[in-house]
Amino acid sequence: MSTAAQAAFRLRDVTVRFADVVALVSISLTIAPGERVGFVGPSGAGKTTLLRLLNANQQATSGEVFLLGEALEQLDQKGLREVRSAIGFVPQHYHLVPSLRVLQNVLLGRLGQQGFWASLRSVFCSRETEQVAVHALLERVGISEKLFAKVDTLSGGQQQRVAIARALYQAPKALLADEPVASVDPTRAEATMALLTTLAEEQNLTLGVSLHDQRLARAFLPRLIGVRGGKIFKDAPATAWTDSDFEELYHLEKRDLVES
Amino acid sequence: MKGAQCWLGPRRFALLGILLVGVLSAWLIQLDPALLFGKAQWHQLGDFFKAALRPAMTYEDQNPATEGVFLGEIWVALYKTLVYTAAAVGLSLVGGLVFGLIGSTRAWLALASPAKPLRIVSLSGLFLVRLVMTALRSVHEIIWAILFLQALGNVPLAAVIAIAIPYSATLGKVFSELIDEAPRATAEGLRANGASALQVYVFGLLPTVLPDLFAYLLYRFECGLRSAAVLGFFGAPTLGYYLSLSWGERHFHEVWAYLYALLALIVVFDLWSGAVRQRLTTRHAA
Repeated sequence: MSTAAQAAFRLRDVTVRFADVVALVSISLTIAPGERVGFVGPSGAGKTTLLRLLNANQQATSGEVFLLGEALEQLDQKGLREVRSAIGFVPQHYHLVPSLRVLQNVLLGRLGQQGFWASLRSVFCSRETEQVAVHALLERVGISEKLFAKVDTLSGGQQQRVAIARALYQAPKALLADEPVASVDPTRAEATMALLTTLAEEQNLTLGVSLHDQRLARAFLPRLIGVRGGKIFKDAPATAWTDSDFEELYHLEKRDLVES
Repeated sequence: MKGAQCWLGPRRFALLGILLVGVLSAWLIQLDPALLFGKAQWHQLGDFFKAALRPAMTYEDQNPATEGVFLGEIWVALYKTLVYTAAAVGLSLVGGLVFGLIGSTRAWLALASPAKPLRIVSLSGLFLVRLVMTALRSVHEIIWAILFLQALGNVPLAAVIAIAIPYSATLGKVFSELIDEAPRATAEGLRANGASALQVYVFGLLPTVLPDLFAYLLYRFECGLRSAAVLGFFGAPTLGYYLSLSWGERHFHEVWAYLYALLALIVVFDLWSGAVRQRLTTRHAA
């Protein structure tokens, strides 16, 4: 229990099963506070389910899940909201509210910490202190001039920065990003990874990023966990990953597809 | 002559059947078309439709004391109809938003997931809400009006509630469908922040469905104008009230004046709401 409380994330023998598909098979892993981890592996390997699990958005079919020291299974609605609120999540497609402004979208980050009326006041009638705080975050991610822009007028890269700012506005202990470089161009990909890792370092956040790009994974993340077919393929420091490891990680999947 | 064998295609039996059922039903209720061709009836109908060409500008009673008052009364009738509609539709909006939330599959599933296996409880709750909505909707506003006028007396509240009840349920049904069909992603994103079900609804779903919701609300407002006017026949001081008075005295020129006024109101509203909808959708797309 003490080790579970110390770890940012701890999974013990976790299986997630959907109606007729097994997404994750007896996964065990521990991620310490402040660690920066990359989840690599082919599409459909279970990376997204794993991230949803770490963000308390997915219940395990069996096994134990500890998020920031809390046992996921024992959390009630309120406990779930608290844990989700303490973990920033940047979805692959950003999931912003298209008809609202950048300011309002970032303010939505704190929903989990507010009652209904407080959140209504904050989003539709924000105080100057809140606007200043959001502006500072936008400045940090490099789009401070877009404070009052409607999000559907922004480019993909800009929307991603809004999503990152929204996650940071939660004042989280951990930051998770689902495929942050899958839908941006190569130069932007490098910048996004640099931004995420520097932010994690500055604010001492535990960072979990899922991605395909092995070069970026190795360059920015000290520890890589390979996932394939719902199982952990290899969990090791990035320096211990060889080219043939990556080849095998992606190659095996192809052979499986042919066989099945 | 080969084409003859497929006239109307296989649907001809269905059409023939419907026609037969129609004739049979007419016979069952002893429909007597001969009535249409009686001389007195023609006279009556003729009087009514001839009046359409000359709607009244003053009362047909020719009382010099009421000169010019008639047109003012049309304005009052239109104004009252508009105000009653606005009050009723405003109330329905509140009811519709509540029904929209508790009548949506999503809201109930959000309650059940992910921790507790409350699916069956949730789904029966949803079924119950939908049943209540259908019940409220299936009773026409005129029936509600008769009920509330009976219970509350002839007060504005009776007519407003009578319209608001079925309209709330109808708006609720449409809103809940809009919510269930709205893209899942936005709501998902907010839930990941730790938002409650109510917050997800207000911040994640409402803004995305708002343009459609508003467009439908405008359409309901137009229906509301007609409903409010008709409730005048049951005592509300709307256009129907004046219509029924003139009708009772067989002042068909006055009747047509009121009918044209109602038509004008609906046409003007339709033009205005069309322009608003256009602006709404183009701005949304930009």
